[in-house]
Amino acid sequence: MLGQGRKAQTKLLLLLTVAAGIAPAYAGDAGTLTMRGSLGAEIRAFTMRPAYALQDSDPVQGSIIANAKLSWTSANNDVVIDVAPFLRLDDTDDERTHGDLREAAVTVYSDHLDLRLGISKVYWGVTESRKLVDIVNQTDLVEEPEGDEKLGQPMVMLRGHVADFEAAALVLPAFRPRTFPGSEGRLRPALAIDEDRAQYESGERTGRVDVAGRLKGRIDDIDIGLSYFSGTSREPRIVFDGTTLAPVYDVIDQAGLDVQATLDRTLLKLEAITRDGHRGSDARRFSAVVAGVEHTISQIFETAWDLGLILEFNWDDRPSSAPPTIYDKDFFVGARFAFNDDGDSSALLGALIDAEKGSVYATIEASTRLYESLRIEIEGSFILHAGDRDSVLRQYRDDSFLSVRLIHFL
Amino acid sequence: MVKQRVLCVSALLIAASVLSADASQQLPGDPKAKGRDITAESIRRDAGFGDTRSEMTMSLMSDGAEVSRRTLRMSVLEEANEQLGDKSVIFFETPKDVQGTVLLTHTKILTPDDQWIYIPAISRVKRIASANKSGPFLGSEFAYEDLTAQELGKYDYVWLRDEACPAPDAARKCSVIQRRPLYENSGYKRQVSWIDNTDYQFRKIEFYNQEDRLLKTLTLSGYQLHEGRYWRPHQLLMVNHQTGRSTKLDVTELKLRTGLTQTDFTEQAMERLR
Repeated sequence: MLGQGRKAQTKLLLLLTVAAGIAPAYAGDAGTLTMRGSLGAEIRAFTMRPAYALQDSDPVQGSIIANAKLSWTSANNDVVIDVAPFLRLDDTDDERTHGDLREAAVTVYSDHLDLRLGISKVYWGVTESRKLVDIVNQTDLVEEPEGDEKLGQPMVMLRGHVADFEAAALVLPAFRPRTFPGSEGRLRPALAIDEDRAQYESGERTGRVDVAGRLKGRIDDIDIGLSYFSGTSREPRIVFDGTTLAPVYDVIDQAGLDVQATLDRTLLKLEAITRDGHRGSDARRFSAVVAGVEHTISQIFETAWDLGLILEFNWDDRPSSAPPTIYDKDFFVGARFAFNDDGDSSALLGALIDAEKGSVYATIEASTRLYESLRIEIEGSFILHAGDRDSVLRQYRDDSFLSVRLIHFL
Repeated sequence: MVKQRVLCVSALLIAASVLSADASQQLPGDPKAKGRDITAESIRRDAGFGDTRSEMTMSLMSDGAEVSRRTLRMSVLEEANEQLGDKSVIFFETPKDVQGTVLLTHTKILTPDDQWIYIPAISRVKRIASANKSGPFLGSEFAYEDLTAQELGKYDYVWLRDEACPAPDAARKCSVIQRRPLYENSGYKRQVSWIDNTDYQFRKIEFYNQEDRLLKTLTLSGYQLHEGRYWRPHQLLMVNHQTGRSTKLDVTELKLRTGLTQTDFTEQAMERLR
C-alpha cells in the first residue's frame, strides 16, 4: 500500500523533473515574472447545533486562507510556468486544515498546439446548478459543500486547435483522493468519511494512469464539447467498512456532452454524461442530464444592474449503490445580479428543488470590493426542507450555514 | 516587462473599414452624404494600422473626485473586411482582485458581438451574452457600445453644420455630424460628433438617450501622431450629465503594428495571458 503511494509520488516527481528539465533551456530568457497572492479570514456560522457525536459544538468555525500564484512567461510568449500554492488553517476541523499545490506546471505553446506538464486545473462544462461533465480535477470538498473548489491534478495535456475547433488529450498519472470534513467538522454524514481508509478498484491505487480527452467546436452561436474519461472515479461510493465510512474509488468510463447556444440575451445550456464501472450491489451503466436556460435582463429598475434568470432541470438515474447525489430529479431556479459598479459587486441566489422528494436547498453567493485591495465574499447554504425520503440531504439538515470572508489581495 | 497583447483605445475611435463612399450617387451638398463622407474619411485615415497594443488607466470620478481606478492592457486586431468587425482582448491588471481576468470580443457590425470572459481562479473560459451593449463597462461611464470599433456601417449620418472646434482647439473648424445607431440594442437615439476639418479626428461626441435627452459627453484630447500617420487620442473624458459622474481614460502606452495575428484573439490565447 505504501509502495503504491510511493509509485504515484515517483511518477509525479518524474513529471515535475521533466517540467524542470525544460526550464534551463530558457535560463537566459528574462521573460516576465508576475506574482499575486491573497490572505483571507473566514468565519462560517451554522444555524443549528451539530447533529452528530464528536462534532465541535461551537456553531462558528474560523479559518485563515492563503493563496499565491507565481507565473513566468518567456520573452517570446511561448512558454508559461505557473506555481500556485494554497493553504487553509481551520480552528475546528483538522481535515479542513490543509494545503495543496493548485498549479505547478509548464505549458509550451505554438500556433496550433500546446503541451502542458505538471499540476494544473482544467474546467469542462457550461451549466450553473451542477458541474456534471467536469471530471479532470478532484473536488476539494472540505472547502465548501457545493464542490466547486478543486485540487491540483498532475497531468500531461496536449491540445491542438484550428480555427474554432479544439482537441485535447490528457494523461493523468496520479489520482488525488477527495477531501472530506473530519469528525469534529460539520457538513458530514453521521460518521466521518475517513480518507485513510479509502478503497480502490485499481491495484495501482492512487498510481493508476488515467486518460481523458475532449473535442470542442464552435459553429456560429453554438459551442459543443464531447469528452471522454477512463480511470478512477473522482466521485467515490461511500461504504461502512465495519468501523467508519470509507470512500471507495471504482474505475469508470464516462462520456460527456456539453452544449451552449448563445442567443443575444439568452443562453441555452446542456450537459449530459453516461458512466459505467461503479461496482455496488445494483451496479449498472447510468446517465445524467442537466439542461436549462439563462436569460439576462439589462439595466433593471433603471439601474446599471444586470439580472440573469436561471432555470435548470437535473435528472440522474444512477442506482442506489452508486456515489450519492442530490441532483436526481431537481429543478434549479436562480437569479444572478451583476451590479456593474465600482466594486464589481455580484450576487447569485439559487434554490434546488427536488421534484419527487420535496427537498429545498438554497444557496447565496455575493461579493464586493470594500477598498482597493480588500474584498468581502458571502456564501450561504441553507437546507430549507429535507424531504422524508431524501436520505442524502437529510444527513446535512442541521448544517445550514452562512460564511463571510474578507480577502486582502497582495 | 513584456508587453502582452492587450490594449488600445483604438477600440475607441478607430476603425477598420476602408470605405468606398457612395457619394457619387448623392446630390452635391446632400447633408446625409456629406456626414457619411466626412466620417468615412476619418475612418479611412485610421485604417491600415494592423494591430495595436496599449496600456491604460481608467479613473472613475464622482463630482470630480476619483473614487476608483483600474489599469487595463488592451490589444486590437484590425479587420480589413468592412463586413466584419475588429477583434479585441482586454486584460485586467488592477484592482488586484480582478487581476488576470480577460475579456475577448469579436465585434460584429449590426448583430451582437461574440464575447468571452476568462476567469483565472477557476481556469474557465465562459462565453457570455453580449446583447447588453448599452450597459456600463466595469462601473464606468463608458458603455460597451462606446468602446467598440467605429465601423462606418453601424450608423446613418447627417451633416448639421460647420463650427469652431470645442476648446482648446477653437481656432480650428469642425464638422458637426449627427449619427443614429443602426445596430441592435443601442442605448442611444442619436449621437452628435465634432470632427476636425484639418485632421479628421473626433474632438467631441454627445450621446442622447432613447428619450432624446443629453446623457453623456465624450471629449477626446492628447492626440499623438503614431508612425507619422495615425492620430490617436491619449485622453478620453466621458461625463454623465444625469449623474454627475465621469470616467477618465488615460492611454499610457500605445504601439501600432506589433505583429499580432488572429491566433492572439482566440479562447486559447486568453488562457495564456498572465
